[in-house]
Parts: sequence; structure tokens; C-alpha cells
Amino acid sequence: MINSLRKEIRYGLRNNTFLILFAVFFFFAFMTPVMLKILPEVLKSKFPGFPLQELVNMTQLGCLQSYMGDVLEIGTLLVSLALCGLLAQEIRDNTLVLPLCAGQSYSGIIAAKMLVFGTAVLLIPLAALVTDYLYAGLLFSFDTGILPVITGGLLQGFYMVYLLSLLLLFGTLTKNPIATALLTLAVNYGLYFAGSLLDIHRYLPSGLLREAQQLQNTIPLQAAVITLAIIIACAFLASRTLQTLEWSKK
Amino acid sequence: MITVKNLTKNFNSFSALKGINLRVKKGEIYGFIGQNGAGKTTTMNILAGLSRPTKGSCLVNGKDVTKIKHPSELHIGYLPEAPRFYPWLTAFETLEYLGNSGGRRVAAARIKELLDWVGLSEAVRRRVGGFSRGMKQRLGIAAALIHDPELLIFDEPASALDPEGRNDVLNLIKKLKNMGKTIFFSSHILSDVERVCDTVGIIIAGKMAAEKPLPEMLKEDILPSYDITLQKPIDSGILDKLSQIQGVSKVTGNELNLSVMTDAFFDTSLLFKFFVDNKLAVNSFARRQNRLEDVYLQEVNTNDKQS
Repeated sequence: MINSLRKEIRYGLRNNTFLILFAVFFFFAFMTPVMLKILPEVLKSKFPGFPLQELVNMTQLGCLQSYMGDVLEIGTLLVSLALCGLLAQEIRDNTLVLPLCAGQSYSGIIAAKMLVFGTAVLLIPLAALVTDYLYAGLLFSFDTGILPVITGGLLQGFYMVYLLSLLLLFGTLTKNPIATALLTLAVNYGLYFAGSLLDIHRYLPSGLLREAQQLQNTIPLQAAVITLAIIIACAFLASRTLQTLEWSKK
Repeated sequence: MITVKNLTKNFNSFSALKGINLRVKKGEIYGFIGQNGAGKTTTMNILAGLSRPTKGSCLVNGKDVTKIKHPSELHIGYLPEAPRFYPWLTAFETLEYLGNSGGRRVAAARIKELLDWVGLSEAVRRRVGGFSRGMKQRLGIAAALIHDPELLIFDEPASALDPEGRNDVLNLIKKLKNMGKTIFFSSHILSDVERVCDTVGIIIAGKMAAEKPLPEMLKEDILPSYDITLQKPIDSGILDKLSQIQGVSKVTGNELNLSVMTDAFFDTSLLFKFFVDNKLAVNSFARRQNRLEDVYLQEVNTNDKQS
């Protein structure tokens, strides 16, 4: 297993995958406080008397919530695009043929990817949110506790792990990185809108993001258990699908 | 080491393999030849446990490939036609990753020894992405040998290489046989097969056309050809007359060197009589030694006529 983990870490480092994930989350973490800080100055000169304070929450909490919104809208898109080739590309390029012949297990391949990139997408959003918290605190004032921020960051990271499990499963089904990303995003946004429309976020992974955005230091237990079950099911199905693939292409 | 019976593989309505039979004995080099698209790679993938047959039985190292859950259960070394590696790993890291798979451990010394053996000792720390096709092929051979398997399956190991690279790979294959390995390899370069193989199997359009030890195959009754060298140049009128002799099926060549193809029971005295009658002095006259290419082309022609 350590052998497979080392290979995935090398992949992440040498293909700049970790760097891209880091850049995506930290870009939003640094940009949202700056934007909220300079926005009133910009608008004041352009539209004197514009009631911005009433429309936008110009506090540390407002920064954090704005960051969370950006992550849901754009972060998930960028994460999907950055990680869509993790398995799909390997299947398409037949790079798994020699490892399989050498004895790599199907479940080991999936587990290594889940562990390495799961850890990355769990910890990087958390670190970015804490950075956002500190930066927003410096620019505005520290009006929010750190514990809700850590809980929110972990919930957001957990949601990204769910996204990763979808990418792996759809990768085995489509064998095409772009199709994998599109399918994952369709499911991701589709479930979010369905959750809003039917008011069932508490039963969906999107409930994690909703709760994270509230920054109230509470864990949506139902959504967390369901998300965990989906992650395990996706990893299992990805492993099973990998096992049934025909490596007949040259 | 390999016993294949009535192996059939269908891809939707297309039948890639139509009930092939073959047998590879321990310690031999088996050359599996056929045109592009004849079914060589499909057979190789099935033998390597990477694809499942539609019908038939296939025993590799005593294991039924239809009953395995993982390709590594077959304990073979497999080299695909165009081995794909992770371009961001070095040659050493690639073998380390493959060698330490499936709960096995391979020492660094063994990896270095293998890389040295395939002629990649200078590229140990270089990333595979910058390797030439020949270097990847050598690394593929090293990868196939990493767990020291008894049976090696190589799909077109030398076909895409330059003459020097091909020569190196064929020499490696011969060395492997001397080390006691059994090698099953496919190719469409018949001279390569003729150079190293003990047994040859010919696959044409998904069917086994022939399977024999190479010396036996070269003795096969194919239509006789005679190579004749004349002392003085002749004109084309003589060539036409020559081709009209009963039993002569084709005459090719130039004004000094002729190649005469005849029927199976041709009486060669007719040729000598022709030369005497036409006052033609002959420098040399020899029946052409069968080559694998002749046997193969005859099988292809027979198949074409049948279909």
C-alpha cells in the first residue's frame, strides 16, 4: 500500500495537481477579504450614497460566507477539472496494464487515490478557510470563533472527498477525463438544486456545504452519514468496474 | 505452459478469434505470426488475463484464465505492444513501483541489475517521459522480468524498432531462453521469428492456419521455385517461351537471373532441355530453400482462395 501511496504522491507533486488545488482554494481565501475591503471604496467614488453596508455583510463572518459560496460555485468546478484524469486518464492511456500484471489490486489502486487525494482535498480547503479567517480578521475584526471555522472547513473538505469519489467512479465508467468532469459536475450541481428545490439538503451531501456556510459549529449528522455511505459505495463500485474492464486496446 | 483450445472472442458482432488452438511447451520460444488485425493482440490480452474469452479454454501456467480474478494470478511477465508507463516516474521508480506490487518486495540491487541487463543503466534516474520507443521497449522487458516469471508473453516486442533496436531485443529474447524462460511472442516481421523461434503458429483472420516446430514448417511442401543464373543475357522472347513450358507457373527476374516457380510435380529435365534447345549456358541452378515467408504467404494465399 505504501508503494501505491508513494506513486500517487509523486503524481500529485510532479504533475502539479497539489499545487493547482492549493492555488484554487487559496486564491479565493485571499481574494474574498480583499474584495470585501476594497469594494466600498470603489463604489463610494462611483456611486456616492450606495447602501452597500445593507446589502453585503462587511465583516469577518461575511468574508467567510462569501468564500464558501465561491468554493461551491467555482471551486467544485476547478477541483473536478483538476482531478478528472486521476483514473479516467489511466484507463484511457492503458497505464494500468503493467501495474495490474505486476500485482496491483483493483481496490488498492482506488484506495491509494482516495487516501492521497482525499487527504489533499480535505486538508487544503480547511487550511484555506483558516487562512481566510485570519486574513479577514486582520482586515476587519475577529468577530467569529475559530472552532466553527475548523468545523466548516472540515465539512467543506469532506464534501470535496465526496466529489473525488464521484470522479473515480465516473472515470471507470466513461474512461474519458472531460466526460468524467462534466458528469460529476452535472450530478454535483443537479443534487444541489434538487436539494434546494425539494428542501432535502439534510439528506444530501450538499447539506454539508450548506451547514459549513452557516459557520455554526454544528455537524449535519444525516448528511454526513449519507455522504460517507456514498463515498464508500462509489469507491467500491469503481473498484468493481475496474475489475470488469476489458484491457483489449493496444 | 500455455494450452489454448477453441478460443473464441467476439466484440459485438465482430469475431476476432474463431476457435483457435495452440500449445506452448516449457522452455521454448513460440513465434505467433499474423497480419495486422489477425487476432494476435486479442489472443495476447486473453493469455495475459486482461481480456476474457467468449468461448473456449485457455490454460496459462496451469491456471484457467476464465477463472482468475486478477491478471497477476497467472504469474507471467507481460509486455504489451506499446508499453505505457507513467512519464513522471524515473526508470528506477517505475520498476520499484511494479516490483513492490502484489505484496512482493524487490530489492534496489535487483532493479539496477535488470536495468543494466536491458541496457538502461545510464537512464536509471531519468524520467520515462523522455525515453525513446526502444528504451521504453527495453524498460517493458525489464518490467516483465521484475518478478522473475517462468513464462513471458511479449506482444510485438521488436516491430516498431529500428534494425539495431530490433537486433538488441531479439538478442535479449535469445538470452532469456538460455536462462530457461518460456517465451510466447507475436510479430509480423517473419525474419525475426525465423531467427529466434523454436515453434511457429500462424494466425489468419482469427483462425490458426498452422502450428509447427520451425524446422518442420520450413520443410513443408510449398510449391517449388528454382533460382537460375545465366552466362549471357537473354531477351524477353526467351522469357515468354520459358513461361509457356508445361508446369511452369511464373517466371520472374532479369536478363541474367531468373526465378522459376513451378507446379508441385514439375519435371526439372524440361527446364534443362529448354536451355539446351535454346543454346543457353547456365552458371548456376538451385532449388530455393524454403523460408518462413514462403510458408506464410502460401498459408495466406490458401486462406484467400478458401474465403
